[in-house]
Amino acid sequence: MNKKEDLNFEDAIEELEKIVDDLEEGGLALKKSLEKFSRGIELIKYCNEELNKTEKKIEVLIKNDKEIKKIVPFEDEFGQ
Amino acid sequence: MEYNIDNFYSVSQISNYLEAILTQDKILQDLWVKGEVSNFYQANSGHLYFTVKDKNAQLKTVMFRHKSRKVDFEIEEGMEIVVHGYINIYKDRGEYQLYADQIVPEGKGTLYQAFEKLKKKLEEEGLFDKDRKKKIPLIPKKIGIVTSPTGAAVRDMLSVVDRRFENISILIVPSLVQGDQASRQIVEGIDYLNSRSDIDLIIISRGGGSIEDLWPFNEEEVVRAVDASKIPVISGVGHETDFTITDFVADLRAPTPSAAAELAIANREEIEKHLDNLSKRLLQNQRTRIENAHKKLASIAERRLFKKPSELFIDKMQNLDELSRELKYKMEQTLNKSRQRFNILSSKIDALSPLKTIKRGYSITYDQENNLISDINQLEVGQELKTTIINGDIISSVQKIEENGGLDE
Repeated sequence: MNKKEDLNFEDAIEELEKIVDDLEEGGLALKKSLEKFSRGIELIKYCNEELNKTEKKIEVLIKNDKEIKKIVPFEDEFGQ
Repeated sequence: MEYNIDNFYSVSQISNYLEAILTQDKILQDLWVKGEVSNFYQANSGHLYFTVKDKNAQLKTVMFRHKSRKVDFEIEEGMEIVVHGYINIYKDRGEYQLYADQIVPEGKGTLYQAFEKLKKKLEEEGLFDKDRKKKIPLIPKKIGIVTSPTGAAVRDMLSVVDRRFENISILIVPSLVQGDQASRQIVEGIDYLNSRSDIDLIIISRGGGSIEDLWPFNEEEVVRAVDASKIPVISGVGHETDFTITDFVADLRAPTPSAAAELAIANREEIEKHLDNLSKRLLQNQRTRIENAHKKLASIAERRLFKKPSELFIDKMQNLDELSRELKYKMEQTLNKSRQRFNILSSKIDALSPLKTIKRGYSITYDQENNLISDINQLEVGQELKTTIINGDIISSVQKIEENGGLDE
C-alpha cells in the first residue's frame, strides 16, 4: 500500500466492509476477486497498525500568566 | 342548620368534598409559590418535607423522591425559593399542602430566563442542527480534554481510560470550570487544541453542580467556541439530568464526564471485534473461492479429453489415412489411364511412321535444299535429287518429267 495514500481509519473500515460484502455476494471474476482480496488484506493491516499506533500517554498543559506553555505527564503534576 | 341525628357528614365525606373542590380549581392545580424554607427534612425514602412561609402564613410542602432527584442545589433553612406544584389535602392529617414538582432558588429565575433565551436564539440560528454535527473518530489518536485538573471529572475520566484501553494519548488543558474566569479559559482551551495538529477529539467536562456552577457552559462565547471548533467536541458536563447549552451544540452529548470518556474510547473494543470479524469473513470467502476453483479445475482435469488427449485426433488420423489411401488409388487410376492412352497413341504413331512405309519399299525424295519433293512442278530436268530408302541415300538427276494427273490414294 502506498504509504502516502490519504486513508483514515473510518474510510478504511468502510472500504473493507464493502469489499467483504462484494466478495460474499459472489459473481466476481477470479482475477477481480483476488485484487479485492489483496486490497482487503492491505486494509486490515492498515487498520491494525492504526489501532496499535497510539501509545498511552496522559499529559497536561502547564501555562503561567505569560502564556509560556509546557506539557508534562499528568501524574507528575496532579497525581496523588 | 339544626342538629338532626339523621343529618350529618362523615369526616371522610368532608375530606373528599374538599378534595373535589381543590382539584377542580385551575389556579390551585398549577401554581408557583414564593417563600422561605423552614422545617426542611429529607426522609430516608428520598422524599422532601418542608414548609414555605412568609411573614404571615405558612404552607406545608412535600416533594416526592422522583421529583426531588431533579433538584440541582442544596435546600437550606431560611433559603428563599420559588416552588411549583399543586394544592391538595392530606386526609390522614386533615391538612392541605403543596405537592411540589419543581424548586428554583429565588434570584435564579433570571438565569433560567437567560438560559431559555440563549437556547432559543441559537436554535433559531441552526446551531443545534443535526447536519452540523461532526463525526466522532472511531479511534481517536489524541484526545484533548478541557477541564479542571483537580476536579472529580478528570479523575472519573482517567479511571475510565485506565480500565478500558491501554493505548490512548490524552492532553489535558486545565481550565477553571466555574466562576467568572471559566468561560474565557474554556474558550482558550478549545482554541488552543484547535491550533495543534495532533488532536482529533475534544472533551469539555466538569462534574455536577448548581446551575450557577454549570453556568460557564451556558455562556454564549463557550457555546460559539464549541460550534466553531474544527475538531469534534464531546460535552460531559454535570450529571445526567443537567443540560447545558453546550450539550446542545456539541457534536456528542455525554450525560457525565465518565460517559464522555466511555463514548470517546469505548468504540475500540467493538471496532477490534468488527475488524476481526471482517478479516475472518474475507479469509473464509477467499478460501472457499480458491477451494471451489480447485474443485472445478480438478473436475475439468478429470474429463476424457485431458485424461486421453490422443482421442482428440485419433479420428483425424484415421481420416487422414483414408484420404491418403484414396488419393493413392485415384492417382494410380489416372496414371493407368494415361499409360493406356499413351500405348494406343504410340502404336498409332508407329503405324503412321514413314520409316515403316520406307521399310515396305517406299522412298522419300528431297531437293538440294532438303525440301521434300511431292509435286512435279517443284522439279526441273537436270536437277539433282536425294532419295532416301531404308538403308541409304541415292543421289540422282532428273532425266524427264511426266505428269500422270495425280494418283488416287
